[in-house]
Amino acid sequence: MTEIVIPPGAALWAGALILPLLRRRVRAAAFVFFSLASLALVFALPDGARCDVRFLDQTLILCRADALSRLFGIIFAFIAAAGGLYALHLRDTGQQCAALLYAGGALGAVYAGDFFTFFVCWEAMAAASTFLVWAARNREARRAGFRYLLYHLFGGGLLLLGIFFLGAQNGGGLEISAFAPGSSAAAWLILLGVAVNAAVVPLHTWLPDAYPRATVTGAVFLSAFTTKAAVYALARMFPGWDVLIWAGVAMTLYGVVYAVLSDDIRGILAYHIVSQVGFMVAGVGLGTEMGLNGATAHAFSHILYKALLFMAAGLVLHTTGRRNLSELGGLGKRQPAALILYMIAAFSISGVPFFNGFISKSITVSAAGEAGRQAAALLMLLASVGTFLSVGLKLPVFTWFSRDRGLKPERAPWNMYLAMGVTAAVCILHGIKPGLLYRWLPYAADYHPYSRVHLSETVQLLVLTLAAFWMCRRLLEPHAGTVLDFDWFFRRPAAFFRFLFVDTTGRFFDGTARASLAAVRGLAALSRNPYPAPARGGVEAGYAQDRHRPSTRTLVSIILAVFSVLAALALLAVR
Amino acid sequence: MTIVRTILRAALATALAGLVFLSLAFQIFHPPGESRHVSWWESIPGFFALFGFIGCLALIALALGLGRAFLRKNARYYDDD
Repeated sequence: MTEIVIPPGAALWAGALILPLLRRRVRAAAFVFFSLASLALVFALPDGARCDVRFLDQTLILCRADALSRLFGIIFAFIAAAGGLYALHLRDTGQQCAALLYAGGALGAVYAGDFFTFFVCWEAMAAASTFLVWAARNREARRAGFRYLLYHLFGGGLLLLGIFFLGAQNGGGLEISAFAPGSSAAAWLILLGVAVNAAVVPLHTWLPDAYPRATVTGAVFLSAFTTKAAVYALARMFPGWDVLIWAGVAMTLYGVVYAVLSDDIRGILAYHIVSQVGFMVAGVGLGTEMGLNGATAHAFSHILYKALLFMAAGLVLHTTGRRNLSELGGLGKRQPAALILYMIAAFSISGVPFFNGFISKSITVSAAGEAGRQAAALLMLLASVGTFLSVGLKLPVFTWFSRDRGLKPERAPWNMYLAMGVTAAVCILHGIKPGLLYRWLPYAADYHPYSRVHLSETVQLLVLTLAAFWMCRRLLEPHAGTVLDFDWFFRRPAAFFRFLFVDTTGRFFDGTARASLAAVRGLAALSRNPYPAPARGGVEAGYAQDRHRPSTRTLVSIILAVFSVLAALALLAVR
Repeated sequence: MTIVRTILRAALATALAGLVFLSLAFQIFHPPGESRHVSWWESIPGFFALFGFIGCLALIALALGLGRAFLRKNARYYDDD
C-alpha cells in the first residue's frame, strides 16, 4: 500500500484559503486549529518520507522528512499555534491569512527537497511577511515594508540566479544537498541569497528596520520564521563553511552593540535576533556534529524565547501605545504578570541556568571551544554578556521599573497572557529537562550543561555583568533618536538617486510629452490653414473660405511656374 | 516601603555575592579535570567574573562611544530627506 505523504505546510496554506470563507468570529480560532493540524502532520511524517511530483521535465520533491526538517517543523508549527493564540482577539482577516501563508512558506521551505520548491516557499514567505509589516497601516510601516520587500527580492534574485547556475552545472538536477566549502559560483550565490534572510551583517538592516514597525501580533511571527528558515538552509546546505564562523561571531557582537543604543523596545529585540542568529550561523560554520546540534538547538530555543519577548513587548505596546524606553517606566506594579513572563524569556536568552537558552547557547560555545576555535568561543561569551545587559537588564529596568511615568495601561486580552504562559512553560521545561530537546536534534547529543564547573562560570559571568550594569545604569538612560546602520548607505543618498533617476527622468518625459503635443497641435493647425502663420507670426485655427482661398491667378501662376521648372529640367536631362 | 525595598535589595546583593564567592571557592578547590576539554581561561579562577565585568563595561563604552561619535542622530534624520 502506498503511504500518503502530506507536506505539513499544506495545512497552513489550505487554512489561508479557507479562513476568509469562515464566519468572522471563528477565524482566529481556526488559525490555531490549522497550526495544530500542521504540527500533527509534522509528527505523523516518519523519517525518510517523501512526496515527489512530476512538473514539466522535473521531479519536484515537495516534502522530504529527516531529523533536521522535523526539528524546524515542530517549532515552526508550534509557534504558529502560539502566535495564533496570542492573536486570538484579532479581527483582521488579511493579517491572519498573511500569517498562515508565511508560516506555511517556512514549513514548506524546511521540508522542500528540491531548489524549485524551496524557492517558491522562500518567496511566499517574503511576500506574506511584508503584509505583516504593512498591516500596521501607517507611513513608517509602509516605507519600512517597501525596504523590507526590496531587500528580500534582492536576496531572492541572488538565490534564483544561484539555482539557475546550479541547474546548468548539474544538467537540470535541483535536489537539495550540502555544498562542499567554496565549491562553485552557484553555491556562493545561493549562500548570499540565504545570508540576506539570515540577517548576516551587513545584509541585516531590513530586520531592525521592519520588525519594530510591524503589527503587535505580526512581529511575533516575524521573529520566528524568516531568520530561522535561513538557519535551516545554512545547516542543510553549508555546514562547515569557515566563512560562516566569523560572519556569525561578527553578528553576535554587532547586534549587542546596537541594542545598547536602541530606544525602541522591539528594536532592541530585533538587534538581538541578529546577535542570536549569529550563534547559530557560527555553529553551522563549525560543521561538527556538536556545532550543528548547537545551532539547531539554539534555533529551537530562540524561536520560543524570542517569540515570548516580542509577545511581552507587544503587550506593552498594545496596552500603553508606547514603544520607546524613553517614554516608558514604572509599569511593574501595573503589569506584574507581563514582567514575570518577560523575565522568563529574558533569562532564557541570557543563558541563565534552568532556562532553555542556557542549554543551547552552551552547546554552541562549547562546540567552538572543542573545535579549537578559542577566539570565536570567547567572543561569543562576550556577546552573551551584551545580551544579558540589554535584554535581561536594560529593557526591563527602563520599562517596568525606573522612573514611574504614571502610565495607565489598558487591560490586555486574556489570550495574550495564555499564549505567553504556554511559551514560557516550554522555555522552562526545556531548561530543566534538556533531554526533551536532545531527542529531536539532528545528531545524538551527550552534553551535560549542569556540571558544577559550567554553573560556576555562568554565575560569575551573569552576576558581574549585573554589577557593571548597576554601576553604569545612569549612562544607559534611553535617548530618543535614530541610530545609523548600514542602511545609511542607501537611505541617505536615496534623495539624490530619486532626483537623478525618478525626478529628472520624469521631468524629461513630461517635457518631451508637452513638446510633442505642442508640435502636433501646431502641425495640425498648419496643415488645416498654412497662410496665417507667416503673415501673423502664428497659426490661426479657423479657416475662412473667402478670406484664405487663393485667387485663380495665383494658382495659374504656381502651375505655370512648376511646369516651367519641369520643362527646364527635362531639357537639361535630354541634352 | 522604601525600607522594605532597601532590605530586599541588600538581601539580593548579598545572595548574589555569596553565589559568586561560592563559585570562586569551587574553582580554586576543584580545578577542571584533565579529561575535560579545557580552554586556557577556564583554568584561571575568577576569569569569568572579570570577563563579565570588564566585558560589560567595554561593550557599554564601545556602544556609547560610537553613538556619540557618529551613530546617534535625531529622530527625523531620515524623514528630512
